[in-house]
Amino acid sequence: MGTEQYGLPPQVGWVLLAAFSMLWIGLGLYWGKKAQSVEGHMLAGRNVGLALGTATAVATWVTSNTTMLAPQFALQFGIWGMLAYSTASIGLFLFAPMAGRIRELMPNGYTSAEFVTLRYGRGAGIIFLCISIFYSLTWMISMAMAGGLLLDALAHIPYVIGMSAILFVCVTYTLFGGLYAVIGTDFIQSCLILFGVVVVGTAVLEVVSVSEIYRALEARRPALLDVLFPAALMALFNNLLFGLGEIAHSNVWWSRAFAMRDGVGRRAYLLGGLLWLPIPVAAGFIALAAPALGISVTRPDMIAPLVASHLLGTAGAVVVFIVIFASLASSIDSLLAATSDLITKEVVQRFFVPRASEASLRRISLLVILGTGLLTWAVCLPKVGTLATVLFLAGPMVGSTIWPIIGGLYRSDINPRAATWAMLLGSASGLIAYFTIGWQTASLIGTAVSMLVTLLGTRLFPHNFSWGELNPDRPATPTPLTPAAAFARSASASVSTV
Amino acid sequence: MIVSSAAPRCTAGALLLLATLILAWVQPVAGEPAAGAIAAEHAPQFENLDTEHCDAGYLTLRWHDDTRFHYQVELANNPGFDGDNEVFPGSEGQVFLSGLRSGKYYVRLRQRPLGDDRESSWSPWSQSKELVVEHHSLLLTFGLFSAGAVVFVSIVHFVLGHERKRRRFGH
Repeated sequence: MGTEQYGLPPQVGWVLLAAFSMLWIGLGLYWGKKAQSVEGHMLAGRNVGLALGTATAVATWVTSNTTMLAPQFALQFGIWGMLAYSTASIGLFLFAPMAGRIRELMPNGYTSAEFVTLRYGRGAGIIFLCISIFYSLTWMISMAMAGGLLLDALAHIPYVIGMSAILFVCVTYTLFGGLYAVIGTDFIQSCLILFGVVVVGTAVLEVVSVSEIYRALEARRPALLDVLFPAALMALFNNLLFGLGEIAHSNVWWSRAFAMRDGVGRRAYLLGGLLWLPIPVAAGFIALAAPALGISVTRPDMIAPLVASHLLGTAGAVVVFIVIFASLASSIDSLLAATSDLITKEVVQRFFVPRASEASLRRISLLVILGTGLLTWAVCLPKVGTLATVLFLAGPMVGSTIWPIIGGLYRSDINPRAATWAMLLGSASGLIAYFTIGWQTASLIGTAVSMLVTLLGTRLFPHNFSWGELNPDRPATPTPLTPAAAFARSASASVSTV
Repeated sequence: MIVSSAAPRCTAGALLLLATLILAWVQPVAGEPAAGAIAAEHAPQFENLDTEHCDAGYLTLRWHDDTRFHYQVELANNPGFDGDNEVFPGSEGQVFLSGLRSGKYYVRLRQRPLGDDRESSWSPWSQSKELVVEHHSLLLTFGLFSAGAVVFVSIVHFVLGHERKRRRFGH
């Protein structure tokens, strides 16, 4: 492995690392001038427009996984695998209407956990917070770790230096620029990512035609073209629901919904989904070209850099380096900002300093960003290299939050206890499926159980939530019950009286 | 005089010490067989020779990696490796195979020194290893696929249905 394979001389790697580090930090400091208040720092003044909103959705959702795992999925599961990965865009499409609803219900909201706590009570809020923080931290740690490993593989930059550099850069510009810097850099990073994927994809098509790729797959990897590929078919909806759960619950997406101007969220997430959709398809296509190009795969997650440097030499390796560095930074910064918002508002302020002034809250927020960055760095230091597996464990947990979230956003009769149990039982059954059947089934089973518990619990014991409780500025008016809900409610009341 | 007679003795002693050190350093190197000799005499081996089972049609094969060598893995669907088989080149101590349909496969491994392109410098093939690919049953597959489809369609129907109502009637 190294320069012979990925074609990037170490000196070029160091220069690129230094140049992009300075660029992101410089931009963070520049945009940081705008982030004076807590709302400015956490939510970019709630004034993000369509272009920046779309770009931040695309860049945040293009993680190192999109550039490394999407090709791996294509190599493992063929055409279905490529499609399975691209279904993650459906999460963005479905979040588009939800973003408008979130903004309408909570115009002054800050986090997704705040919604769950107000909607279902403290117990549900704590369970949701645990799931959300576990997911965010493992995602961030796995990406920082992947960053160190990739810089090592691509340019022989030692793991500890590469991982520390990526984290240092992201922590610094998020610290100074807050969500302004995160969204601003996301715009540039999404342009770089799209450009890089188009360059490598075009280079592949210049060398081999689609029919040659098909013939090579048919001869050497026949199952990758099978319509009835069992593992791939099983992974399809599992992956879709994992992606849906990630977006529906994560504060990364909620904070953007709060940050976008009125009416922008819906269009920004739709456009973001459309722009994101071809990226994993292109990355998967690059991987499927490997047999036709005569490339032997040693590590499936490194196939994209391998194909790029095989076709374009050092230039290809430079493009891959830039794409990967941009995709890592755009996701780590978003996670850093969203996780620290979650910890600041829902842990520190809610449990320790409920009457903190704006100035002290701002200081706490900065300390939490710094602390989260340090914690991530400390966990990444031993180079465990198995946290990607831990991230997959989060699949059933985030899947179990889908129904409590969408139910809570649209129906006033969703029972808080049913929502709480849905998250608990969904997570537990999904984890059991993970260990007994396989990872391809965990998110699916977690989501299915959560759906049944939420809907059945609500059917039996409907609740009557007043939407005004989500927004203290709005007068609290209970929503009238539907006749069926009123009947079920009176029935359950008479049962409990008996 | 004393000084002049001591100087050659000192130089000779230093040379002797230097020679001893060089010998001590060279000895293990000289004792270590050259890469070509290893390649010619010893076939590399997979990490283990146990039959490997997989239910998704992909797996990674590993062996002890020596950076001085280049490797070839041959994949066949018969134990005699007859016919036109696919050969995977590599130099990382592992190779990733995918897209395998259900059935029995056999793999074997050989090596030659890096930079030596002569056909004769390949080592003998290693002992072969058996791979058994048995994809999940279609019953389980379609059961889970259908469950996934139902859950997904329910979510889409729920969100879009309520959005439509909300747009028409407000809350």
